[in-house]
Amino acid sequence: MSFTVRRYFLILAAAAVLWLAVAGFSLVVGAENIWQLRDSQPDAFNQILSSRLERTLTAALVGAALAASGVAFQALLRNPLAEPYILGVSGGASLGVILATVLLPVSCLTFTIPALGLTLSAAGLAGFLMALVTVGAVYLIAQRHGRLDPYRLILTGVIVNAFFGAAIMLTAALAGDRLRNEIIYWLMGGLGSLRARWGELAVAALVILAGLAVFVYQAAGFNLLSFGEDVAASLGLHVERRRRSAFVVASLLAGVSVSLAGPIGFVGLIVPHLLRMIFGSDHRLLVPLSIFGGAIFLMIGDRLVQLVPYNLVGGLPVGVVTALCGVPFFILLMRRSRTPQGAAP
Amino acid sequence: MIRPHRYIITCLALVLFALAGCRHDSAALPAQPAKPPALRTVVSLVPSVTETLFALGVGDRVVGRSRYCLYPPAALALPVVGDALNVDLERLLVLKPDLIVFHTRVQSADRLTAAGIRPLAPHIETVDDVYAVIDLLGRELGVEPAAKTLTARLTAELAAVREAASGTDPVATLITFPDTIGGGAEIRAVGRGTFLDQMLTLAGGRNVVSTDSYHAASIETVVTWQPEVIIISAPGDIDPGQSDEHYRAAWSRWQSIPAVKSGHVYVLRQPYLTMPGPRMGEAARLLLATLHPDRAAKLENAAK
Amino acid sequence: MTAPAAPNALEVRDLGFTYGQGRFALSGVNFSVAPGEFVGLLGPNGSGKSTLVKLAMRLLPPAAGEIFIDGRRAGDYRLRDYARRVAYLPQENRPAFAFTVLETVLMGRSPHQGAMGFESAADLARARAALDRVDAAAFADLFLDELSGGERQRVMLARALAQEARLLILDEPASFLDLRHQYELYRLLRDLARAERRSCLCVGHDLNVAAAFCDRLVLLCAGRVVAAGPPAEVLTAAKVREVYEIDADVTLRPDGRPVVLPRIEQL
Repeated sequence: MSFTVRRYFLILAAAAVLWLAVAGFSLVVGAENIWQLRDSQPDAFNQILSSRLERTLTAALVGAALAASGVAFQALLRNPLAEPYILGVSGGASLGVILATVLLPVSCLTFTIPALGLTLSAAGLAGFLMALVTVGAVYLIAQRHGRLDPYRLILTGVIVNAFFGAAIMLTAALAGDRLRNEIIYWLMGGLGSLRARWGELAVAALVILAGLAVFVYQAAGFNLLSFGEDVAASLGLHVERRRRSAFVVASLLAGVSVSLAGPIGFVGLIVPHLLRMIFGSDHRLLVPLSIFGGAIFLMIGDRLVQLVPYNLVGGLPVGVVTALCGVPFFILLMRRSRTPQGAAP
Repeated sequence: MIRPHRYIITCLALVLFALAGCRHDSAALPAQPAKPPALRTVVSLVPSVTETLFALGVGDRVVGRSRYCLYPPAALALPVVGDALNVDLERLLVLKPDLIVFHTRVQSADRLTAAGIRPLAPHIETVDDVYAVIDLLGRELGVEPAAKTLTARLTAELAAVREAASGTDPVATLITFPDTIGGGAEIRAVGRGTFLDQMLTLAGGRNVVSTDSYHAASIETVVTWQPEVIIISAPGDIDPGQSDEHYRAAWSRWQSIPAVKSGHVYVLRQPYLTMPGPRMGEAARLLLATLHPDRAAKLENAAK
Repeated sequence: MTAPAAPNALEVRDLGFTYGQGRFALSGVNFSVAPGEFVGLLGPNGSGKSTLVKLAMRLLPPAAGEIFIDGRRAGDYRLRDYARRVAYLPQENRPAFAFTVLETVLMGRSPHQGAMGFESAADLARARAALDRVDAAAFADLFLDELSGGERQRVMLARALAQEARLLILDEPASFLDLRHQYELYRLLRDLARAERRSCLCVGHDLNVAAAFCDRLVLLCAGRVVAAGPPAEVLTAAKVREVYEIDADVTLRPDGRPVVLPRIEQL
């Protein structure tokens, strides 16, 4: 079971193939039978395909970003229960996105660079900044004499989440009827849009892929950090520097995914843990596998949601599904996990 | 190595960049309809608009509805394409209507416009809004004469109610909604300038709420309003199993309110009461019958 | 900076440290560990042992004095180079996630590997050899959680060996071990020092096990070195009385190493 380069690439190649298969499946399977349309309504066929492609890519990016930031938070905080949603990072990012949406005039929310086909989103930036602020706050509140107690950390996440929840509700209450409904729906975390968001998606993709690359590069360091900061430093890792940069990248990933799809919870918890159970804890494998796994998980989740007929429960947001799966999973993990001894920050 | 302060500077730069790039092109929907050709098919996600379309005689051109569009019965046969918050984009692209009427604000829907589906999100709150929508739909769908007829009929119906109520003392009335989730001390009250306020005024009532729009009020404030009649608007589909008595019971402890003391707390379940659409005459008559039953009877006899 | 002619593996000169409030955790500490020497660092709670280890591991910056590793100032090494020379073994080290023994030992290779941390066949061979050396080869594919405390410490030692550092710094490695495993661990360290000329600085509480295996002892009290030298010179009844404030009988084993027996009737 040793970690060898060949095994590494074999597993990753298999994951990539599976990823491609699920992505292809996501394009083909849906409430509408796309094959029938190809001949009868070629226009609709193309438009639906384009919409599904955007949705699938969004799911893949968001899923990958959430799972990877989950792995990173777990390694950095030495806590298997850490995850952007539980730590309150998603909540902070949500507040940022909502405040930007409510406070800024519609015309200021996005800025397109036509030559590059990129769209900068003010909400995305606000989401990232708030995610960063939240991580900083959670870290400061949860540490005591320079040590992070794992349960104190979860408790801090609960408190921070409650605070952001209240702030979001206040914003929604002040925002007026129509916007309030949108906010509440957005908070459930969904992927579709009537707007073609290729420009925003392109920017998000660049940011997310860069963040994921950083994590793949840092993965060996996550292994060392699992043994505590003293040991990691004694093995040649610049702990402070690594931790700071990884926190920034994890916040970036969480913030961008929230701005793309709303706060989708528990992907960062479920995916890494399932993979750990199968492939072990080696982060050099776990990080890239979680990237594929998170993407696959969310793509499948969104497809399932899409298959529910509209006159039953229309347009169920995928975040509802991940949360419904995630909460029992969290409880199971919490009951099974032992407190890591001498968990250093 | 990545340093946070550099990140922050970059982000601030990006924020400034984004703000500097604000353009003032309204992303809102085009208000003025394109001239001809008239649009053929429609999807309506707004119950009152669905009703209006059928009232205009173009029900056969409606190809999709929302989950809440339940009237007229013919509409029930239509496929559900969404609700107040959601649209089944794929279904819509297959149905390919010329027009879709939304409930919510739509910032941009270029996936629809690219497919030749024109999105429309009219604001429908007052009687004038109803006429405006009838007029708009009439023009869009090329049925102007039907629109004119409908507007005339509704104008006449409302005028008749106003006529019937004239000369009565306006009844101090509170219109509210059932507390569906339960137990809160907040009352959702119908304020001035709303559709229900207009219907109430027509039917010889006086809204005890003096502020605009809908808002929440504490029960203590409601007591100071001293309404003589309380109307609880509970459209049948909200909570079908619940009895009128249950809704009234919530008020029974507030005997200091004249309406409660004298037993003038009414539960009205007709969905059209809250719907600014082609059944607003019925809504006005319903309120008249509640506040001034004698006048309502007279109006009915006159109609016969 | 003048380095000694034959550089010591570790040399501590006039080392001082304070956590603030003017109270010195360490002051004027001098001692050294020669190549191939097994030195035990003893002292009561709060005497500054752990602070000293943290300073030697560069986890804290000295407030005064210097630490030299192989004749060069500790702070002048790049962190990775430092990790190739100095390995660290804490009291107990359980990872937050389930790693296998082999994975754990391979992490000792990380100061020798590229940034992505891929191991070569040579890395794998070194890790296996290290496991062999501590007699833990049979555990290679087990998870750390499945081992006993003593086995786990041997695995951690194997990681330090795989690191190929000439100097091992151990912070109370035997605290959670039973009598037999304590003695076995110390014997292993002594053998490593003798056979492979690795230098060891081992912090501990048990005077007798340290006295039985260490080449020299350093006795620390209230941040100062009270005695340093061969066990029999350091562990005298007088010193024990001075440092631990307890009367004890000190007898000598046949090999001349001292055994400290406190007189409990006085407590």
